[in-house]
Amino acid sequence: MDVWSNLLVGFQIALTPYNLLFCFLGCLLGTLIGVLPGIGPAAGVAILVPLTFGLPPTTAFIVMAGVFYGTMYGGSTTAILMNVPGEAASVVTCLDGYQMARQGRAGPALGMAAFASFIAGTFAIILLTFTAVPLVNAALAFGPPEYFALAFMGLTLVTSLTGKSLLKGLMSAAFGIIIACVGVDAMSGQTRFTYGQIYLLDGLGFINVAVGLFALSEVMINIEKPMAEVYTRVKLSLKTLFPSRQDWRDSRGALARGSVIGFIIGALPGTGPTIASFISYAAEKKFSKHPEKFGTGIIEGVAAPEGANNAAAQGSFVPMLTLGIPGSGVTAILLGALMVHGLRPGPMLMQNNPEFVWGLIASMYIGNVMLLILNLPLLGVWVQILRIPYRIIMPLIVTISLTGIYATETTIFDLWVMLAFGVIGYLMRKLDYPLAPVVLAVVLGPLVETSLKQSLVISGGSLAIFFTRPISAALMVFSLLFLLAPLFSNLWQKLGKDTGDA
Amino acid sequence: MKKADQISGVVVLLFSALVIAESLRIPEQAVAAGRTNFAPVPGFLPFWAGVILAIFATMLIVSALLRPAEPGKEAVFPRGWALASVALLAASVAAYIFLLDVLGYLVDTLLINIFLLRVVMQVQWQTSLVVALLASVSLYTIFQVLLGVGLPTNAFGF
Repeated sequence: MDVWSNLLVGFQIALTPYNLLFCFLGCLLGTLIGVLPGIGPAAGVAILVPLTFGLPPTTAFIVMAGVFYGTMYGGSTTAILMNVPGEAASVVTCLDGYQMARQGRAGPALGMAAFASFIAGTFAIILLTFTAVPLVNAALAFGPPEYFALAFMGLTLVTSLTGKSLLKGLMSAAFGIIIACVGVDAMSGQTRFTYGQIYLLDGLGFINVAVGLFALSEVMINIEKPMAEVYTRVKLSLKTLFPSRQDWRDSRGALARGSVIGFIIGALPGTGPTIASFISYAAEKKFSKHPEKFGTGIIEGVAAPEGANNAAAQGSFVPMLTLGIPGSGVTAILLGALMVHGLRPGPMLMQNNPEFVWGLIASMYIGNVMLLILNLPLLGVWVQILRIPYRIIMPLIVTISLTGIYATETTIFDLWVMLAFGVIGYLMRKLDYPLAPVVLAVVLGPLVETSLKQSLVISGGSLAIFFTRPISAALMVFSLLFLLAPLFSNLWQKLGKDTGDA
Repeated sequence: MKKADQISGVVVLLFSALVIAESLRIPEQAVAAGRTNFAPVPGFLPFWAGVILAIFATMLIVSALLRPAEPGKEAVFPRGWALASVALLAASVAAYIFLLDVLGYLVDTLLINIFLLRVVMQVQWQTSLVVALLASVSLYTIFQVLLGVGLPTNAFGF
């Protein structure tokens, strides 16, 4: 089957009134979560996993994906108007966006953020559509060593790029692997760390861990700091939301580069929209003829990161749908949800469930159009929503999470797991341990374990197998270089200093 | 963060020691068949993950010991009401889970909502009651009535 007929099938599924409605709901919720500072896409999607359990898998994923890329649209609103990023991926947008708003150019900044998101997002979905099949064909030839190398790369990238300290990132990842070991070992049938608890035979439950780590701990972090100032009255006087012809000319190049950078970074296992937005902003500064103007309120500074974070959100579906390797923290949660819905991630997903993969991809085209409409004319409505006291929203997130977790398996034990990970997540956030590596490791744990063991069985116990096959060798060397690069650059600087002193 | 890193490093080190000890106790193979020339035992991955975690934790402790203290940046956790509100949230969720089978979903959810809104978030009484009631009833309707999930009931059947 060629791409066009696949896409046609996808649109037939995505355009049914039922799926259209849920796509709209996902985009609506995503924008809302994006607009509200303090609730990120990971928490939003994690809460939705149990809530969408009763829906058919394709519909459930249309909603959850809509929330994910919807937050990328909504996140820029408060960044530009109030200098408060709605999401981590919009942190860079504050730099120039807020300055533009202070100069009375909030309208064009918001407009450019929405158009850049739409253009880069759609560009990334087109690339996703056309790279998916070739990638799957290549992946079908992958053996256990290649899969281990891919999972290893995902884990190294996420640990070295998130958080402040590489050491703590590595500790988070190792902790996640240990969590993933709880339950029955898939290869031998032996129980591990279950201590006679029947509830632990299936492991700690991916959703319980994810909702605890992301949603519950996020509420804990939020209630301890006074957020009142965020929700003060926002004055919005918009003459026009449309960027001028000059604005378009200025941001054309930035948007194009942001889209490409975003897609590539999103498609790498382990890296997501936040990293993409930072890198594209830095790249624009390098490319620009007037780098000193960045941070003073220039439109390129909005177009590049806003384009990049959307392209990355769509791009992170590439490894998730084709290889079964998550491209970011949020897609790690989505991958876990895939298994909850009984679908097997990996290259066979597209062959076994083409209606799921193509229905989801087609819904993203539709979702992006919906989001453009939702975000531009209805901007005033979203700003009004910021006036809902935040003190009312936080308790609601707690009870929705509790209800959703209970509803998934109807066991009270799961609620205790969620609470425990809520507290662990809170402590980790306070102590600067990144959370994304834990979730990625929990999701990838079983794959890491089986591919590692199978590889060692094939090689008779020699680790050389990961370095003698070309694809796995390339991936392993790349990951190791990436991991060790900060160490070497430190050493280099020290050596340079020493010789300089002498 | 210097002191905090030392403490969290020690806690993680103890945790990894426990993981290593426990993974050595995992029986070699529940199913004896299928063992070829080299098949890693079930305790293989948790053992090595524990060892790696222990190494990193030691590195964290050592690096925290070696670097100078950062005055003004040492306080990691909030004090006073901020800390109390986080503790109250965790405690009320624990109480909620504990009482879920006794009070039933509807009453228990109503109570935790009122508590969180009124006591933890200090919303006015009237608003707390209205929001709590609306939230509990709508969640009950969505899950119990529309999705058909069997939510816990109390002795009176709701």
